[in-house]
Amino acid sequence: MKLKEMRERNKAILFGIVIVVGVFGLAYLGNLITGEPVLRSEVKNVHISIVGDNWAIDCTMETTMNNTVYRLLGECSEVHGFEVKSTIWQPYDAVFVDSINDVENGDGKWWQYYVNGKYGEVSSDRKEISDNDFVEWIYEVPRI
Amino acid sequence: MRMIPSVKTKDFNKMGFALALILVGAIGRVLLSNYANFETVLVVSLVAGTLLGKIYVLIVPIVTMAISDAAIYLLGLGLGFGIGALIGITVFTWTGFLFVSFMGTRLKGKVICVTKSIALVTGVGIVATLIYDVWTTIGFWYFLYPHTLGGLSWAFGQLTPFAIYHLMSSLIFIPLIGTIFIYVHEHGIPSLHISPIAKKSDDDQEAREVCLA
Repeated sequence: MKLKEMRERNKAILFGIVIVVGVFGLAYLGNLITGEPVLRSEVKNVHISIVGDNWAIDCTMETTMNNTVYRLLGECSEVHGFEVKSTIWQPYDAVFVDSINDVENGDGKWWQYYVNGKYGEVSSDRKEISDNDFVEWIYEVPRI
Repeated sequence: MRMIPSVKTKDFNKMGFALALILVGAIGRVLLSNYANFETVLVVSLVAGTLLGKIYVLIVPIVTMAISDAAIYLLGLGLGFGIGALIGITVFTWTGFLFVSFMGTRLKGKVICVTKSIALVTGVGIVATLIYDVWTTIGFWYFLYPHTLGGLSWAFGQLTPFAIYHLMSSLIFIPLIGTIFIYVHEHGIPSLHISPIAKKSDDDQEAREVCLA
């Protein structure tokens, strides 16, 4: 049967099916891109350094279950008593760090992280760390 | 006696229609502000261009964005961009929705409340969504990232998931909100009352049921 000859109700049903398939297909694709969350596991001897404009905070954890860059930042903030503000970006289901120790992103400078000197290309809660890793959070102009 | 939907005979005036579009667009955007790229501004901009045209092509997207931007930042729901980047990105997002509205004018006079028309509007909306995303990504690159090929490549790398979810938003909201506005534009505001039903032709009744479904 040609589309022109279809009854209006059938056309509406067909259109509805196309929309539903499209939405679920895109949701599946989005899920594939964002990936799975990192599960907790123990890491040893990890170091984190947070560098603002004129200050720096350092933490070393001999053992921790906070095995992502973001969780490690959270642990360091508890140890030293500073605040970390973040937003969950729904399309990525990922965390975006807005401010550390009352220093907020803006005017060309952003909080960015590096692991062993390598720029973080995924959100900090999706970046798993390993034993002996060195994590840096630096408030700077993006280096990309 | 049987309960049937009936319509007001008084036409919806353009100003009231535009106001309804602005309210739906702004309220929807604020309510969905935690879900990046799920928004209702694109659909109301498209509908304004498609059904209203003229000055409303400018008014609806601009006023919707002005109200919702103000609300989002007053409520502290926005991201922490600096003022320079904020103004720059605002220019790109507002002009992006203006472009969508102008795209809608290409359909003016061609849209009625039937599936074919709604599918056409949805199709145009999908294309408009992709163009909007590319345009605003250029804005993000210009105001937030280094003006290098690497910066541009990074910005477009970030676009993919946002574009996917923006397309989802358009696939949901254009048929949903678009159909309601197309129906109201064509028939007025539906209201329920109890009255005897006049015998209508099967086609009329069927088209009406589809629009109300």
